[in-house]
Order: sequence, then structure tokens, then C-alpha cells
Amino acid sequence: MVAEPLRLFDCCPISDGAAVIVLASVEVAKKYTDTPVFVAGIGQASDTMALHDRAELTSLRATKIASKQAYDMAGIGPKDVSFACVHDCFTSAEMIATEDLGFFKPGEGGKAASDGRTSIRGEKPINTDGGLKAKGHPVGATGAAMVVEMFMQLREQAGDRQVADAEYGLAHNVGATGGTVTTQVYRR
Amino acid sequence: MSVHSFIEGLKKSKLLGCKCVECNRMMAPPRMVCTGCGSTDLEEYCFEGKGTIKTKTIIYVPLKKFKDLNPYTVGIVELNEGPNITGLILGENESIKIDDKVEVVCFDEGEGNVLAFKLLD
Repeated sequence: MVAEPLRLFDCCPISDGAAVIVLASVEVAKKYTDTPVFVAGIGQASDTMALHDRAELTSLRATKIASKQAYDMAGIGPKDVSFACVHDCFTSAEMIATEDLGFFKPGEGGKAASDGRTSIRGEKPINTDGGLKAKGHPVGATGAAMVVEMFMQLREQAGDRQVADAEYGLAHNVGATGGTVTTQVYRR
Repeated sequence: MSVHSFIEGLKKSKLLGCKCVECNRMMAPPRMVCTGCGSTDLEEYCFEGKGTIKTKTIIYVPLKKFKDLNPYTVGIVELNEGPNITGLILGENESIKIDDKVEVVCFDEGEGNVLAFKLLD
């Protein structure tokens, strides 16, 4: 037990690692590939530092605000997201994220995972690369690594992690235990 | 009002905060700027020091300074006056429950003083 009820495997390891993404204008990208991945929407929001100052303890308001910005910019809603990489620093964080992002109703995020709805073959694949918990969490590189997964999935290069018919991917990144959240929508 | 004055208050088991003169919001610990309306017209306020446990966890991977307490309970307490604050909750971990009533005590952890609560019978 680490911090009841979270046990060792409910917590991601803080790791070393690196990720690289190259951003370019559409014109420049098309010189290098016929299948670039497009940033369709972005959002960022902040909240209080202290947990005890938050309006709710089982939701991140910053996720709701940041994701609404990204969804609105991309012109889509949660139901259009083919797969998502969410900030699962703890199992509880993934449950809260999938609810805040609008994939499942409040209180249903955990059951959705244990029912298999978030598996690669499920209706809403979450963290197809293993997420922070299974892949590791090189703080800072984690967000960029999510974008790498977006890129691989949307170009059908994810091998046996490949989500079928991936059209829109969502990357969700948290800092300061919810003090800041960024969300982006990617499309092919 | 400062971190120093907050700690000095704590040593006397007083939980100091502030109240906004403009919007009446109460904050614990004291702040420089009202977290509600942004006013800097704040006056010191001494909380009663009593509240209810809103949520809690038991820590099994202690901070070095708390290793003698391991495992120990940390909780968010809703003070009777309204604001929430985080603190150690002292007592038998298994007997500490959400909705329990608590009151402030000062805990000397060797390197300084931290905010703690004990169960009210």
C-alpha cells in the first residue's frame, strides 16, 4: 500500500526518458510526407495549487475547460474521439480524466476500464501505449510522448497497438496535480 | 500576516487565516490577495479550529520527518467556518473516518511545526 487505497501498481513510476516531435506548417510537412498528422484543436487551463481549495475533489476543472477549448477548436465532441492518451499518473487519475473528458459519466470511469470499454479493441481505447502507469512517466517528456502515440496511431503505424479506423486522437496532460492541464485533438 | 505568524499561531494551537473586507470570504491559511474577488484588503481571522473530515488517506511511504508516525493519516478538513485545509490527522488510523469531527493541534515534527488535527470524542 502506498497511500490508501492506492497500491504500488496504481502509481506510475517517475522515469527518465525523452520524446521528440517536429512541428511544421502544412506546406512544409507535405514536402516530407503524404500523411502528416494535423493539430485540430488545443486547450489549456489552470486551477488552484492546493487540492483543498478545489471546487471538487473527484474532477479536474482544468481538464473540463482545456478539453472544451480543444473540442470546440476541432469542431468535435467526446464521442468523435477514436482513442485518447490521458494523464494516468495514478489509476484514480485515469478514471477522473475519462469522466472529465466526457467519455464516461461521472462515477463510471473506473467501471468502464474494468469492463474493457477502454481496451484497444473497446469502444473508447485509452492509453494504447500503456500510459504513464505502464510505460513510465518522464515528467515533461510524457506529453510529447503522447503526441508520438497520436502520430503512430493516426498513420496506422502502431503495430499490434493499432486502433481500428483511428480518425481523431486526444492527448491530455496534467501538471501540479491538476493545477494545469493541456489538451489537444489530433486528426489524420 | 505571514508564514511566520501562521506558525507562531499554530504553536499556540491557533489556526490563523484571513477574511476579505470586500467580499467576506474566509481563507485558511492567510493570503495576500483574496482568492475570491482579488482584493488586498484582508484582515487577520482566527478560526475556531474545529471542522469535519471531508476526505483522508493513510500514507505508507512517509516523508523522512514523519517516519516515526508511519503509517499516518492525512486529510482535508472542512472547517466549521467554511474553508477547507489539509493536515495530519492524529490517532488510530483505522478509527479515523470521513465525517469525523476534529480540532486543530500543533504537531512538532522535529524540524518545525505542522498543522494537525485530532479526533473530537
